[in-house]
Amino acid sequence: MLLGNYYRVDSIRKEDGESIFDVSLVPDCPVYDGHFPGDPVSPGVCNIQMIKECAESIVGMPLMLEELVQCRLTSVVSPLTCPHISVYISLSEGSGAGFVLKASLRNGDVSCMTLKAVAVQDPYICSE
Amino acid sequence: MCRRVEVISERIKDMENGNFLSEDMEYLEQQESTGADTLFSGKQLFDLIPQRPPIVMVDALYSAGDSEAETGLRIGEDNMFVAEGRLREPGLIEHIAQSAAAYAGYSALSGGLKPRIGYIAEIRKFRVCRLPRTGELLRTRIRILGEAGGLSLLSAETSSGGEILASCQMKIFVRED
Repeated sequence: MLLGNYYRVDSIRKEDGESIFDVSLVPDCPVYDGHFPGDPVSPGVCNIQMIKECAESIVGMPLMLEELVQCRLTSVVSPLTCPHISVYISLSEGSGAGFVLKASLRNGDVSCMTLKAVAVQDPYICSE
Repeated sequence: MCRRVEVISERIKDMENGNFLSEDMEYLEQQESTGADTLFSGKQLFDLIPQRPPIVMVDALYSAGDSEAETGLRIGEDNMFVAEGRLREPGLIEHIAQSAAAYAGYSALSGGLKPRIGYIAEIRKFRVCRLPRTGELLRTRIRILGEAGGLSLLSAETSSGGEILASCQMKIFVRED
């Protein structure tokens, strides 16, 4: 959905059981026309979608975030102030059929966002 | 998934208590009168919220009280968070966040102030039972639970046709301009 127009993946590495996606935010993504006019701020929900897409590339299937246990947005993200950020992802088996997805978005040492969610195989994409 | 079972059980109880008809009437009235009782709709929302296309995720403010409001969104095919004919979770979350923004904007305007930009600071216990399809009309209830130091804590529940689709708690930070 957003890969290629909101962000690009520059490299992927692994460290301490986490996958780390080094991404570049696309500064002329059309979303900034509306968020906000004259003041580009990366929408938190676009960062959530970006995290989901990175997780999907790890497990190799479309995912639905059935539950977002907690998502903290602690620092404003913008393609002007932090065009290069890193998405840290760790996935583990959850109770039942889903994964526990823990992720964070970092601008160097600064943590911009943390997320803990339960992700399941997308029930809609395969069946329609 | 458990929530969906609860909703169905409640509806069955309603039917047994003879409330089935009135719930259906309410749904039909809601579908017909989205114009009649609406405070703000369509582009009028631009007076309340700072977002603009392509990321406008609320298109009606139905009611706004002391600490509660109701908003709506008709899911369009061109919605940026629609994939495979359904509004994805980030779209539901953004709809809830902008519902809170519309309510805050309305409260500001009512007090003679300019609506300010707010950021989502935290989302908690977001649960989705079903992703809605394009064409569905979402109806969201926002309840403000508390406010302090520029942070608002709210709970939200989004339904379609009387069926609960998603709920969450959210903290929104309103920036001092």
